[in-house]
Amino acid sequence: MFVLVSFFSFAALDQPVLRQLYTSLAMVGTSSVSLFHFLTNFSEVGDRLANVGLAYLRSMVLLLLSVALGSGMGLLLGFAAGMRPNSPQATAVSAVSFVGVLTPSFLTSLFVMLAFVRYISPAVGIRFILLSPSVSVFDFRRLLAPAIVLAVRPLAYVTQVTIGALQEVIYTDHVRTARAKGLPPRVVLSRHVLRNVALPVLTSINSSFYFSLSSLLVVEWLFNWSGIGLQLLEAVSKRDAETASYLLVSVGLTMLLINTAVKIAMRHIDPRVAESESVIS
Amino acid sequence: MQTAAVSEASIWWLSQGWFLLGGALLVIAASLSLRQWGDSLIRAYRPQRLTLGSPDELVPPTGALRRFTPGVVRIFSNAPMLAGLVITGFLLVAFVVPGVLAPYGPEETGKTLQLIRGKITARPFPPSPPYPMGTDMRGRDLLSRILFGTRQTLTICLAVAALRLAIGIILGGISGWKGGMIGQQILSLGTVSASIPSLLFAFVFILAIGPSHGFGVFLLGLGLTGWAELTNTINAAVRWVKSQRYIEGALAIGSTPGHIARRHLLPNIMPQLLPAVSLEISAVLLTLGELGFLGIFIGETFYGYVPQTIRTLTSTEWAGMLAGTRLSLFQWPWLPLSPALAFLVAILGLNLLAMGLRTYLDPMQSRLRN
Repeated sequence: MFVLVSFFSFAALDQPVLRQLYTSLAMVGTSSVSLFHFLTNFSEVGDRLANVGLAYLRSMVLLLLSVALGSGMGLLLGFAAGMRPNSPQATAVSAVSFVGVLTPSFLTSLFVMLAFVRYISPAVGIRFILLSPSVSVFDFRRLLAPAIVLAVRPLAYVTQVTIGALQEVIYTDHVRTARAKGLPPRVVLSRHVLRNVALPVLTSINSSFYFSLSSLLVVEWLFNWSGIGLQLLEAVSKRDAETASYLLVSVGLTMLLINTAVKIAMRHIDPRVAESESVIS
Repeated sequence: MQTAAVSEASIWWLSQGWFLLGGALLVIAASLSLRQWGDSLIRAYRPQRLTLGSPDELVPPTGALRRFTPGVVRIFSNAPMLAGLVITGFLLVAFVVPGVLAPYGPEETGKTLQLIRGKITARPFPPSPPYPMGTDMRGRDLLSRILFGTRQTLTICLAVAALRLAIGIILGGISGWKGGMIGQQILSLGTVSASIPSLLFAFVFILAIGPSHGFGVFLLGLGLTGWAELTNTINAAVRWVKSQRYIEGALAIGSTPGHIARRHLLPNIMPQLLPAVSLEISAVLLTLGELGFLGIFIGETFYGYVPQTIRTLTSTEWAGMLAGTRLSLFQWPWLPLSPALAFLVAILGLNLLAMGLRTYLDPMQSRLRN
């Protein structure tokens, strides 16, 4: 009960309705989100926005790299395992990918960090993990470890989905016909199988972005990569509501953009998706 | 007083702290091999009136054959279900009577210096025969603390999952049964909720109100998001049931809504509902672990002089054990890794259970390979 009361007072929901309305209308003029505030306090807001933009850029580099790495390798692994679904290797791959999807990101990042610091850095002679903040921004060496951590879950998930989709597709009639016609396996794969597998794989890449975005907080904090997640952490613990809201909005917009892009791509791949959507709405 | 260095990599990799993960993998392997045995059991139970087209023993039992087999027998042909039941059963025992499994008490501390692997060692003790998962800075056995902490951790998870389930059943039921404008609005609300990662929301919510308020903040912070997937599942299931002929019949003979819900709706959405609940609990567990890793957890700490002045946890919750151990990774790797492994095993068990339940509760569906 106490929690509810404190939440309501935090969100100003315990005020009378008219007071709430007045406050929110007054906020439009004075809040930092408004255009007026932006124009009058240009440099301050601009600084903050530039910071957020830089953090966003850093996070996006990390995110895109990890998802591209993960889904590319996942596709290869999934095809390797899915073409022979009953072999022991395929069973092993799907079992490992099942565990990989479920491994919490903090556990993966602890293992990766341990491996880098104990084995890889001494062997190669490069310090991949630098925990002091005073290091140059786009340092590829610092990007590698968090990208590997974030790539694990997309890798496992895309592998799982690819194996599942292939199991359904390779036993369908049109693939059997194509094989019976004597087409070489490469042509069957590229022309008859790939297009049907593309749809579930694309959906899985979409959810991989979601996975990676949600574990960005933990991974950036652990590896001291000053992106959206770390900035949000700092902003929330410093009670800097403006920066926090900019960051949250940028996360939401990114999710929305990725969703839309995937939907458009799905329409191009499979016209049936467009048809079914137009029937519903 | 000179003490030996204990954090050698070889000790950690070979230590017995891995037995939880190893045990889970062993259970999976064993149940995979048991599957063959379960298949032959199902064939032994085959009623004589069911004559299949071919007596081909290589075809796995599906469809009608599975439907007429007793449930207990079908579990043995369902590897994920078996593995999930073993792990969740273990968690349940630890939930109810942790003292039976734990070798030490949760607050029990041994001697300050101990002979471990032939070396005189100071606290925290590494994973070794007397302490299978190592100890914390006060010398308390981590395995025992994890086992005693199961009750607190799972209580939070179950409460949050119950809240999400309540939201999901109400919203999904309404949108599935009523459909139309209201249904569309509810589903789009779910889409909005799903676009906020639940870790971000929980983090901001709990820090804004203050984690010191305890259970209620965590319940709301974790429970107010994450219901969208559950809502979609229930919505689809209810819509499918509503389109069936028996609902039409029940409406025609004048059944009351309560009767339809109890007699027709609930039993028929169960195959979708139960796995979804299991998945939801594991999702909450994951978010709880990540929050704990970031340093937000339920429980109290005090600062005291142990070897140096350090933070000491007084509760045995897993997330709390994970908190603040980030930089101990290189010196004492078992401090963060042991609770993290506990999270992994619990999440693995719940997901295997969900996977198995999906096959088990849906007899029409052909069995899952692998």
